[in-house]
Amino acid sequence: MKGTALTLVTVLALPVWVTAGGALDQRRPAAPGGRVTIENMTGTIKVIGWDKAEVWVKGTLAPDAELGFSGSEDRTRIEVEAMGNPMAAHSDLEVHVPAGSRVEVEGFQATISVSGVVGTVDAETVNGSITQTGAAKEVNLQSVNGTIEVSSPSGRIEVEAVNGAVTVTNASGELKASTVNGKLVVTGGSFERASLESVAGGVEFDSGLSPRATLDVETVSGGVELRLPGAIGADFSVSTFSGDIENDFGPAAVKTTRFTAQKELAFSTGGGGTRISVQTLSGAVHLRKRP
Amino acid sequence: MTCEELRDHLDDWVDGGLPAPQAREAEAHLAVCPSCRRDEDELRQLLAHAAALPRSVAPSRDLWPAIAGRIEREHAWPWRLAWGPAALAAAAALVIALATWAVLRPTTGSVHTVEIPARTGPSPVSGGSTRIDPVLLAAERDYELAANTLLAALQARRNELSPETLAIVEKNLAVIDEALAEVRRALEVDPANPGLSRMLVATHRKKLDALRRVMRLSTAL
Repeated sequence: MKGTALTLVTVLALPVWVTAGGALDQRRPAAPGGRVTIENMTGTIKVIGWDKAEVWVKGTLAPDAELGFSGSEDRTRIEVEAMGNPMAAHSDLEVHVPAGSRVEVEGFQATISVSGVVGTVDAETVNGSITQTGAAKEVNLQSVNGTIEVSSPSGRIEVEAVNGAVTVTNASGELKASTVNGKLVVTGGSFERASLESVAGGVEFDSGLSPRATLDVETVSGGVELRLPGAIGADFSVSTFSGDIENDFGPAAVKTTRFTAQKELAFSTGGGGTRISVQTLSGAVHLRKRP
Repeated sequence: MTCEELRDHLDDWVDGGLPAPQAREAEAHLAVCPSCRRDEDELRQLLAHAAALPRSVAPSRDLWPAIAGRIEREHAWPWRLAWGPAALAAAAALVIALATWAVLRPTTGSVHTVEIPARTGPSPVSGGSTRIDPVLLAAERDYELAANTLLAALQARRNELSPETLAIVEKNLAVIDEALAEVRRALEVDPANPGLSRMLVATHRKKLDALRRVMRLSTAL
């Protein structure tokens, strides 16, 4: 009996290799909360959460690539391996996974989209966009050259782009987002903590904040625009070395020294509570009342 | 103990310096919180990598407590810097370690030839008089060393990467270098401004993060 079980486990863990390109249609059983790792360096990766205890790989494999499909029910591994130049081996994968999976996706010149996964989502690419939709409880997305769009996750969210815009929509929980040269836009949803950083890209925030939340924004040259409810109870701390500060909530910024153009603005509204901090070097700061 | 409290104490917990009552609370929290366990694992890995570094490439660790301490004192909201000086030093060290490994890794293939700069930006921390704090300048030297090591590694792999990728890397390094120059100019005017010091360090880290990501994923090709 023990031997049979061992054999079964061994068979289940055996990798399936699909070679010579063409259409893909491979399935393996998978645990509802298992880990699924997907690697496809060039092409597209579309991950869809579903209610079956199964991983299903569809798509098209590049002519000079192999697909490795292996692992156990708790850990499934899908890997496109190019036999020649990986940058020329364009493969398109559509992977259905149990919705509660822990999904890890890695590409290089690859566009990644993940939808319907309520577990955790980790995705990383160099050239390509990343799109995540659905109530994932933890999201970690990173792209060097490509946009990142996040919609509706609820939990811990980390998003990082270099040369691309970052858009976070209807999310909630804890957000940490940064970009070097792209715009960072956060709309809808509500946060307990949000940390938004940019080097040269502008930052726009038009979301809810819980009563004891913290919002922290920092840019070097990017402008900052916060759209907040007029009745928000918050403690504001705004500082810019050489930019301008516009404040719809009342007090004007003051110069801190006659030797530099640095301006600071600290005030509270509605008895305080939510802590909002903005710091820029030369980017303008606009505090807007939401209509 | 909440996730926030755990992150505030993670450095001490990993170092074994947390007082017993708090250590028990941290242990209990980690037992039920996968997210914090992952943070703990990452920090332990960082520290392990840092400990394994050869002395010749290790950054000047003694610089970090001063700068990180100063930054933390000036920053009202400590959650943004939940990792303490040890972790900051380890993170910088890990980047250098990864870069060194990448340089030594053999490369093959010949697809394209694209020139990327052997080092980026004007060297801000060598020569000339400056009003910028020596501690900050020393930290910048560490970051420059790490960035230039990574750039050298990318140079070595340039035949395996597409020209588009390298062009994007170059373009964004230029953006970051311009930002660094802008922050330095501001620091020359107002060298005691802690916000500017923190901004300078954060921008350096962004540069290393970007380089490290490209290097890491390119090694998977």
